[in-house]
Amino acid sequence: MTGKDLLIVLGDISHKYYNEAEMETVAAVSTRKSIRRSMLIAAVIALTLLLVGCAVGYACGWLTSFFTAQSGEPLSSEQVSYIERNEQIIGQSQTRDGWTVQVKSAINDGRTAYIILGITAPEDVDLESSGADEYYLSGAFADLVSNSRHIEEGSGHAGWVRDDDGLSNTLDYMIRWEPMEKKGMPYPFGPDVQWNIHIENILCQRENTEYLLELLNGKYKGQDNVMFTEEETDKLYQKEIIAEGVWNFAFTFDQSSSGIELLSSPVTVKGYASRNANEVSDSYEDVLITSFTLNTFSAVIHHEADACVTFTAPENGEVAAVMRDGSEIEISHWSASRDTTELNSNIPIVLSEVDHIRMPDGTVLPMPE
Amino acid sequence: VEDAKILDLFWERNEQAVKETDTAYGRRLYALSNKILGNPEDAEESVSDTYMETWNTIPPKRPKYFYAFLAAVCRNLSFNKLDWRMAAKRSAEVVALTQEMESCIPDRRQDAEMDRRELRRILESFLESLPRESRLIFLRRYLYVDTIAEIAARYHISESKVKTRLHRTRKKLHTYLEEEGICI
Repeated sequence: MTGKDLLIVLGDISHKYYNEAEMETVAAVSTRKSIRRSMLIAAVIALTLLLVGCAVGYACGWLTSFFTAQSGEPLSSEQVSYIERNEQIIGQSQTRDGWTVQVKSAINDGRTAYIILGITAPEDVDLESSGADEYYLSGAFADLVSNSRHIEEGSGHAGWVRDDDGLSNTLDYMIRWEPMEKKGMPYPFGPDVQWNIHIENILCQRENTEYLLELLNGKYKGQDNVMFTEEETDKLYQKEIIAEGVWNFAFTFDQSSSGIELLSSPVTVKGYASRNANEVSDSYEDVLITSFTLNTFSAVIHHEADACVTFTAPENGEVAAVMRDGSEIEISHWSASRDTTELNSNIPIVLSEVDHIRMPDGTVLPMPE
Repeated sequence: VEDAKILDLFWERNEQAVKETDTAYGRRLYALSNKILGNPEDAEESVSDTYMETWNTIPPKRPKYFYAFLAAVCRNLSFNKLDWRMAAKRSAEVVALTQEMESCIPDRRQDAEMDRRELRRILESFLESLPRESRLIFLRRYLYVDTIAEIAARYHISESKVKTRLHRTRKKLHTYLEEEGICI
């Protein structure tokens, strides 16, 4: 793989990123002040709600805010209602070395889980402005133990998200995790599965601004594509432990759910099949799919291609959940094994509101009666 | 004309769809293609090809973000048309971008071929992990091929801030690709 390849493949990313970079004409930097103002207003409103005894309504808003940000547009009333019904408030909290980590809440659809942590730093730390860039939680966020087995394999994502509480020393941290799908295995999340979060030390990696300016105004003066040497980079960004300690949490999901099988008999659809990990181009071919299970945050396709299959169209089309009101939710390719393809949605798909699934080749998979 | 109406025209197979698309987005698409190709005639041809591809794709497709769809098609067509040797000779911006991207690739994977869609998944996951501001700057540079000065002007920030953000993001991408390489 070369820089050229990387630059070209970047063009394949979801259209939502093209849209974001095109439509956002004012960067977060210049809107920070107004965001802060709006956060303050939000905080005042939240405080008022608390005072009139509506604390529960505010507490349950964490995941709604998160998914609204993910969506980039307001969620439907059905999605909001789904989140409110299914958000599990955890409320565990531990403080070490002046830093408090709270496991706020969680939601799962049986095979995908979201956990939201609230991080409170000492008052003189401005996490809101620089948290995502400078601070790191180190540890294991997705250690799962069920009654019968230890679920080790999986994939996920964790990162900082805004908490909109108006306080500069607090920020949320979202973990998304899905254990690897294994044909015939029960769904991984449910009342018997314990989730362990182990955080060991909070690190800070700040930019050495003085040294940076020295480089930009000296050695690299006038250059657009600055490429620092490894030695310079190490000096520019040094990691230090900002809070020492261990934060350990364990909790169990209070609900389980299962997906909906859409197929009563196998269907042939087109997909890209890869039979060799080193293949440069895959063959676009007919694939017999034997199962399509739709979940709130994901979908799983079982097929008989004996290949890793990606269900996209030549022009970057994705699988879409077409809702009864005509709106669509993209379900993107996530991973593939020889007989299974896993797809993800970054916002909830309310299953009762789905009219049908549209495959990228145009094949329609209706919801069962 | 609103995007939804232009899309309706495509679905009705009304050729006015292409004219309306050109009126609404032609200049932006031309600018994008010209940044990649550095040749006005080739850029015009790429934009025409973009309309042809769009005409052949809609229907059955109905993209959620119409301009994003057009830009993705136009970018890919332009890169397909690019003569890299000529670009290197005239020190085009796109050559600088490839050098910058080169710094994101872990050494041990320089020669490794990767499944294109797997790489796309990794890149999307990486973009999700970025703060919004860094993501926007990164996308403007490597998706829309903007110069440092253009990005600085667009977001009302200094050029050195753009450079450092980009450097930091490239470093993160390097680490991200390295970590992903372990489990692939």
